[in-house]
Amino acid sequence: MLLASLAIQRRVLGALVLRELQTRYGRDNIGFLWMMVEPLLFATGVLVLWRMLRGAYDHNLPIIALTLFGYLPLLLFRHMVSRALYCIRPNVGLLYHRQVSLFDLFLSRVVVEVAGNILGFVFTFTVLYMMDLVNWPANLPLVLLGYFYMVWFSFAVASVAGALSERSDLVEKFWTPISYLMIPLSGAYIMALWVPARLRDWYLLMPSVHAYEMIRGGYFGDGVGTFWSQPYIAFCSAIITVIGLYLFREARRHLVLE
Amino acid sequence: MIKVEGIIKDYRTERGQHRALDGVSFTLGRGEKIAILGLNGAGKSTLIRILSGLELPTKGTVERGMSMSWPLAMGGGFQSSLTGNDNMRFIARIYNKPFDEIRAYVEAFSELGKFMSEPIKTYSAGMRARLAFGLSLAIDFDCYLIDEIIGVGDPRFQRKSTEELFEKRKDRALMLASHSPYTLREYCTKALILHRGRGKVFEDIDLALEIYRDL
Repeated sequence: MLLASLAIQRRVLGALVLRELQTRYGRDNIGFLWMMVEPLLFATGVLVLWRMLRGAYDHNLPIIALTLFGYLPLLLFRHMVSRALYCIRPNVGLLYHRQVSLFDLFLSRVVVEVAGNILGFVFTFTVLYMMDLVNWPANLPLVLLGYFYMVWFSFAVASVAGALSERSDLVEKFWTPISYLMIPLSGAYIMALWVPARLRDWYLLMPSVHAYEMIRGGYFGDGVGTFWSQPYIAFCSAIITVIGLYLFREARRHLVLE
Repeated sequence: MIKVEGIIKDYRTERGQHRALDGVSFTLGRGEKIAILGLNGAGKSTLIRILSGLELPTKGTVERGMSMSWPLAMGGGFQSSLTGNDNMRFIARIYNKPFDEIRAYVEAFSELGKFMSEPIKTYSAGMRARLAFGLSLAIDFDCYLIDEIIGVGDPRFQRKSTEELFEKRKDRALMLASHSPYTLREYCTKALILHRGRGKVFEDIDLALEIYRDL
């Protein structure tokens, strides 16, 4: 029984993901490649600009690596949440098929974002590594763990935002300023070490800062001071996930179908 | 056997709650064909949507003892920005049916030809109906939920659907909402009249149609 419903779930999700790729990137294969190239283009622009403006080192750390590991997870967070907004409305027609749930619609969208971000990450890193612009991470498992928490945290926030956006347009209105505030507050570009000690505890309240600190700690190794707590980000992400799942369960009751 | 029990459906409106369905119960056995009669706004579509699982009832239960189509209605069931082919592929996937078989059947039944590679949003109501109907016949359900859609096609489509649904698939159950007494008398064996939220089953379709005429 459980296995059968898992199989249905997997089939539905697979079909939704393929459909998502079709609607977003069209039928041709270049569309799928675009998922990889898009972050590289963004990253290149940011890297070039930053390098011109600020020199090659920031606080004695290589700026290219700092920007890359700040930018791509931030992109992941922002893309996941904005794709989750109104993830149901344009797909209401698909709900006619009983096996398609609201949560499936959400999941198929964010799965595509995560896959695209990972592909983009690997691709961009490989290119920069071959050009000798970045080093191999000192502690790869820690980088991956940090990235994993970034995915989880983004997923949790996206689920809450996605479910609520179908109830009130206010969510989208608030999301625009929040997504910009996340640039300094997420931890993407500012190491906790640089934050004055009396403000650091406040800075570390933002769960994503912990993920970023893990990623940086993993990349630069022990020589660089990082601040993170795995239980803290795990706990925050778990709580937000539970809220998101609950809201999706409730969403069907609030959904107005034409 | 489909067992519907004590369905209540409330909608929120500007002026308080509106009870669209107020305790509707009935059963539908294998091969039974039931007409749903009711004035505009009596809750015919709502009932069909609740049966299919598209909408949740405020109270009451639906026991689905057989496989049931999605509501075959004027809208819904498709992603309108995708082509007919892509929608067909998606539906074949989620119902776990081999795509080639589905395509062969749908192409023959729906006769949409080159329009299958056009987005659904460019389709006329009749074209959508043909595609939805063809797909649901290709997937082959035990029970078909049909909301008006059978009346929109041209005579050729009507003839084909009659042949496929009522002759070749006689043993399937059917729930048919329609305003056409001719269609209902032709295909249904019993009727459910919805009026002011209440539902009553009539085993005699002619009697039901007479009552419906006087509502």
